[in-house]
Amino acid sequence: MFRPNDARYTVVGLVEVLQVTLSFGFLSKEATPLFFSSGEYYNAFIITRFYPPHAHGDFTMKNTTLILCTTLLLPGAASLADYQVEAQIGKGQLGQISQIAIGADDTLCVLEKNGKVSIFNPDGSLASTIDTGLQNTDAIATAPSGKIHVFSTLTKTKKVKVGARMRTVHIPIGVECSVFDPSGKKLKTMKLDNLKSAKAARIVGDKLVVADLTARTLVLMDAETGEETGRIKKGLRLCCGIFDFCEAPDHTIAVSNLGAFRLQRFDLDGKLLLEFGKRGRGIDDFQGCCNPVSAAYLPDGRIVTVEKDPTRIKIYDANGKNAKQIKGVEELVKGCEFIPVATDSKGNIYLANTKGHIVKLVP
Amino acid sequence: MNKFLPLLSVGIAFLSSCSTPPSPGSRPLKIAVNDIYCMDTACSCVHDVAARTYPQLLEKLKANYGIDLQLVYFSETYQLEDAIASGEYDGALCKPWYALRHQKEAGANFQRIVDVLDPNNNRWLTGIVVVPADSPIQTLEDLTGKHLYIGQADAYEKHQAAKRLLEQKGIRPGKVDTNASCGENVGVLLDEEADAAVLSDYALSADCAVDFARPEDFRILARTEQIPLTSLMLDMNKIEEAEADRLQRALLALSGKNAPETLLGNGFVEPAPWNPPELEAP
Repeated sequence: MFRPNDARYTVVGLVEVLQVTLSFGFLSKEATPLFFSSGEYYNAFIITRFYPPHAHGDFTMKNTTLILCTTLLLPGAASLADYQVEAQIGKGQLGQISQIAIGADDTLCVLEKNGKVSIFNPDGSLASTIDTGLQNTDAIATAPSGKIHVFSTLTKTKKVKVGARMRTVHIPIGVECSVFDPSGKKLKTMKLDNLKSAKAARIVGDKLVVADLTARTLVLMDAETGEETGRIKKGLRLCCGIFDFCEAPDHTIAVSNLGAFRLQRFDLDGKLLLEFGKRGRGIDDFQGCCNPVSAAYLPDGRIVTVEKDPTRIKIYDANGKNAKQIKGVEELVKGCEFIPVATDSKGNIYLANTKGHIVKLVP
Repeated sequence: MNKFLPLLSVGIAFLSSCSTPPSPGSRPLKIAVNDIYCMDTACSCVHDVAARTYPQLLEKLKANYGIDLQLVYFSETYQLEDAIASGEYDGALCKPWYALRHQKEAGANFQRIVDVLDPNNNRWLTGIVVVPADSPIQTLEDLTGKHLYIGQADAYEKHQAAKRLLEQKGIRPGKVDTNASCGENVGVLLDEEADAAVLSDYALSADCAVDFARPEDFRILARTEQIPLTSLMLDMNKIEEAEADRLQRALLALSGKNAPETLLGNGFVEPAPWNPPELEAP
């Protein structure tokens, strides 16, 4: 097997940019085995001849020239992302997961519907748990200081007639937020009267941003006081009870506008900065009845998107193009279920499923 | 010699089973399913109306008629179409166009043996040309020179039928774009990016769009031709005519007042004639 760093080979070739186009057809047949760098960010074709030391010039180009290609084109041709499943975290320790977030020192905070927060170390071991005393908790936000905000949607019950039967429904009426330090000590509780429900929350700069599904609005507030500073509502096509967003670079946010089959990035004034996606067959497109359900930014600016059923985890470039699918992730949910996602400072990706554990993907 | 007889018998039985097309009575028929009103293929946000389930029907087919249908559910229609095109299925239960448009590449000869009624006992599907309720556009003719979104080629009622409607009426919109989903076509109207859009007629009652759009927000200008909503089709290259007839009779017998409750409506009816001109040889 040829390796470009094999000492028996001597690099005597040169860059032959123009030859690339002509060569591609025969490369796979005549110059195998090939070595393709997995690097994605090179801007030039580099074709280099490697001559074996014993050849002494009596070889023909056909049978001895080996060509190294390090090119931008190749990742485009291959639509698989360089990620793999490393571990399943929290198996047997978690119940109904509602949201996840990255906490201090790249710990993973997992919120369950019953108010329990489990904090996992980066190696997947359980560090601690917090019993928040809250119920109906769908949203968690972590601050750079390590503080953990947990949001509970308050409801009232009402009897409604559905067909011939009476059913009891829970109507969202408000949100309560409790703040904890990383050790689990409760620091304060806030009643957020301007919210009906909280499906997702993030602290972005000095703002607390909450996805209010009942109002179908992103509500922006001062992170310390809870005072409302703005709303983003226009163009949100939410369905299936799912409403998620993530923090994006430069104190912006990206909304998984699943009913519109788009990811949309806004600044905190509600100005649309970037949008991409449509329903379709292509790898850059989203599928299912409505997707993506969630997204997260990687440290290098690339964007992870999550589609539910059929489950597809993809990575787009920072412009929302050139998607590549991460292979090896089994179907995380069946039907219209939310899949929380988070990324840490090392580019690891965490996905929650309805089976009660976290899937960790590593680059 | 005697000790080889059992082996010989098995071999003969195997060969004889290979020589004739399998029939509904002889082995399970593998059917690819995508049904707007089926809970196993519809989005959960419309499960109040898309609550149909098939197991009760399958049990009755097996118990009463010895017919074994094996349904494979596809919530994603792209996967459904890929499955049909693979030629690995004996039939399909879905919008007929999904199967008919792939029968050539699948090497199949699909025959619609029954149409499936929706919960309102309707068998038809149309495309509806809609505008925002407060739009100044009042008639289909007003769309001349306007911006219209239609469906893509896999959605007959929103694409081929819509184009034909415009052609027959002599209407030439200024710009025609396509979207793959009804939700996106609803979105371009809500965002005021287009003047009109074509939706499937169930879009505002049995599609994700119900979560962000109300029927009263839109006005229907026209409807396309009627086509069957959902049909059960068998690949007649794999199924004998007599056995297809037997399955059809069984399904019709399990319809009307005999329809299992879980079908929601009256079950099945004989297929209405439908010959899409796009399938006719040039």
